[in-house]
Amino acid sequence: MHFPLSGAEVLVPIWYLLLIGFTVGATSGFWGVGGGWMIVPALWMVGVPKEIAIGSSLAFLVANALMAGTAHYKLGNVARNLGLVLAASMVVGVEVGVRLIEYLKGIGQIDLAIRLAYLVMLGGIGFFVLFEALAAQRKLKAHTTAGGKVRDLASDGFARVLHQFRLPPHLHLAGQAGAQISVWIILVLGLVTGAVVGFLGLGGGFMALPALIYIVGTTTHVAIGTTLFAVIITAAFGTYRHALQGNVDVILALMMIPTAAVGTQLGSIATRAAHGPKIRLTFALGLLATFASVLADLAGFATLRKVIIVAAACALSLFVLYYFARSLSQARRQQPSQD
Amino acid sequence: MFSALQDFLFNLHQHHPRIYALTTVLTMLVVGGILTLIIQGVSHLLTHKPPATDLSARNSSEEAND
Repeated sequence: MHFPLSGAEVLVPIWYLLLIGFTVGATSGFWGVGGGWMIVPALWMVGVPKEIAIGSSLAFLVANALMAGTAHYKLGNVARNLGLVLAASMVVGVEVGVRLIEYLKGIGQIDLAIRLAYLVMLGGIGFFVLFEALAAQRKLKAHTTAGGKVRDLASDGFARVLHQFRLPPHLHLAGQAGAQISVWIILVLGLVTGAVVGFLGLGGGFMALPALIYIVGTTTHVAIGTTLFAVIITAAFGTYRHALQGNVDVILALMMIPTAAVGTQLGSIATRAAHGPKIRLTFALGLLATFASVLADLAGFATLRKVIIVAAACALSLFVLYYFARSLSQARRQQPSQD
Repeated sequence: MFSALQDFLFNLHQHHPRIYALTTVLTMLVVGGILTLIIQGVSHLLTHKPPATDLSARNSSEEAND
């Protein structure tokens, strides 16, 4: 393919774009993250210039988050008020992040800064979610075997402490009777998330999703739907900002959308068969696979980084397909009992 | 075809960056919206059950009346 906007000619295999599109669509439907954290390294590893990879991935995320968000809206997983407050504060944060990029471009440190920031974010969030999800899964098993009510155990702890912060106005949390949180906490969260998003050129789902679960205290399924809703708005704003600079290749973004559309629907249906800790565990593994590929990239192992990203994409796609099949068989088993 | 379209977009960005940026965002929203509608339509067709007033049910009730 040819990229006139960047002034560079790059050949990207179409099968690679279709595979990445499907994986990102399937995982964004399944996890509720836009998938920019996966697309950006996947594109720059096949030679797409960094700024074009960032801008084009944001453009892709607009359409992808719209498709996945609509599917989750129909499943009742979107807390609209929470999503609107989060998106508004994230947009302001994005502007801060974009200006930080311009500053680093000026002093010539942008390349290294972006790679290191990716490593810290992917590794930090990936390991945290991995350990938490493993602990929650052990608790869930204990609850299930004891015959207790199975619930989403991630919202315990820090979120409960924040719920005691009573500065008005407050937002009621969907799906949790009586639980409410100060809007100011959401605004601060959105600003910080947005700044990182604008700096790394992502939709923000990979930060907003854990933030909603562990800090705000929503259930995993509501966090997924609400994050996608916020990502539509922040990704649209980010795309506009990057397109002004000539960093968006629309054709490249459009090439990944057809398979992403199919993957998104499969991913959102697959969530019906998976419980919260399992979803978070796969999310952590996805983040850590991308972390490993960026690490291999920094260390100069060109082949290894490509192998890691393609293997992770295939494994994650198969995983979502497995849960999609389980969801269909569960629906079939329930149908005769309803009739 | 791709290169002609990309040349056009490149020129649009050079001369009218704001129009180019807005067109980009709108294109992605429209494409995403159209694909969502198509997929929802297909999934509705695949999962929608016909109403219970089918011909066989009507015939059996007519037979019972006779």
